[in-house]
Amino acid sequence: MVSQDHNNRIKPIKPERRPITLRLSYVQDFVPHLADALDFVIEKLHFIPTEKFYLSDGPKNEPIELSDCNGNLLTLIMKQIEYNPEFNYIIFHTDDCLRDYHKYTHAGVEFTSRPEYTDAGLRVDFLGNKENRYTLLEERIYTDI
Amino acid sequence: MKYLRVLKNNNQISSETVKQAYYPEHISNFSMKMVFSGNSTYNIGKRHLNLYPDSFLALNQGTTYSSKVDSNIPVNTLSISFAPEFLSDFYRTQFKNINALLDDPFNHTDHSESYFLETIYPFSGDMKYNILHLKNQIEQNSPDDLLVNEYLHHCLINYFKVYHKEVSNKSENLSFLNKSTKIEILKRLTFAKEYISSNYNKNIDLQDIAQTACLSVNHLLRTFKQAYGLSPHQYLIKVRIDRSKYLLRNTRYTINEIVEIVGFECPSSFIRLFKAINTITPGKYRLNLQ
Repeated sequence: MVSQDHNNRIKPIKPERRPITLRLSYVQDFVPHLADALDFVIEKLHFIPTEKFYLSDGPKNEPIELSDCNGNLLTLIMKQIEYNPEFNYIIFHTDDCLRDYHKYTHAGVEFTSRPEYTDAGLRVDFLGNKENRYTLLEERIYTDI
Repeated sequence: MKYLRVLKNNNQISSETVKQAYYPEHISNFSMKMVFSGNSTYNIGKRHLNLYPDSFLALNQGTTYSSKVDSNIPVNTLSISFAPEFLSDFYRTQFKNINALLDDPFNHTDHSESYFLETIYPFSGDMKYNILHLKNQIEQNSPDDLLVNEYLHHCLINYFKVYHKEVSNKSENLSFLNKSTKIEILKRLTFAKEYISSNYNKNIDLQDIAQTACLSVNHLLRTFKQAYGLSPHQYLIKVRIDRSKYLLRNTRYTINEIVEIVGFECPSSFIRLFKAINTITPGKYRLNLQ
């Protein structure tokens, strides 16, 4: 007879789920493309909004909550910025450009360049859905990190 | 605690946290060494280098060295060893034209230019960001070889930038016509610099530094200032202040303890120099970080 303790092994420790925050920056001209950017997050990164909302009414000021099939939560924050000729696409901010470059490449995202160093930090440009262009940017501060 | 990862292409990353360790003489591939807390000692021939968290050490392929950790606090180290083929391929893709790469894609014999000035370099900027990201990945996740190699590729990009800034640009500052003389002087000045950096908390004088660099005192004074824009004494003060800032940021040592650790004679001269350089007192500097 199998003892009651048979399956009473120490359970593996589940890695703690850390909430992910994705910040998008855009200039006024790119407001029409925000819905495409969100579609890109849903289609390529496989996150689904936890509640319905409509970007057609204009960009949302409050964060948008999304989750993936593993229960990971992603908070999407959209922020309008002033026009900058260096960044004429919607910017996906990251805290590790190479990690996300690798992750997006695996997800089938088409990059138009290799990660390169700029005054703002490490950046790489990619094509989203409907041939929209985006920038993945890791801003870096070069004093006492 | 020890971590060792050998990639398929023979690049290797090792990390450990120890208080005492000794690694006898062995031959290295081109490698980079970092410490994130405390310090470790490297013996390369007759040179004895102490590595601190503000610097990294670059060793050339074929160098024989031994290393040691002997500390009261845990010392966290990271070492990256680059396979010769990876280094050679990086060099070729950076500096050869596209036709040469297409005609001969697997030529890994071209090591002629992959010899660098073997010394300690500032661990800051993109190099630091990249290494910290790599460290974070290997500690938190199990990154695949492709991602690790991407980080290592960027380590080399960043190293070339640091090398260009610290060696190529500095040699241009020297007012000699002959290129080989410039390189020889810069090599000796590098020994002076690493001697200061390794012994910054001891009572060192110009004679010691000049002797280590195989330069006369006057020659050392003149060329050091030309190359780095600072006298050896000013550079020593800078190293002491930079390390005191690290201790203020990352430890709970009192100001008096820090004064003793970094080798200043008394707290008043430390506070005066700290304020002159940073326009803020050490106490306020620490307070602003909280």
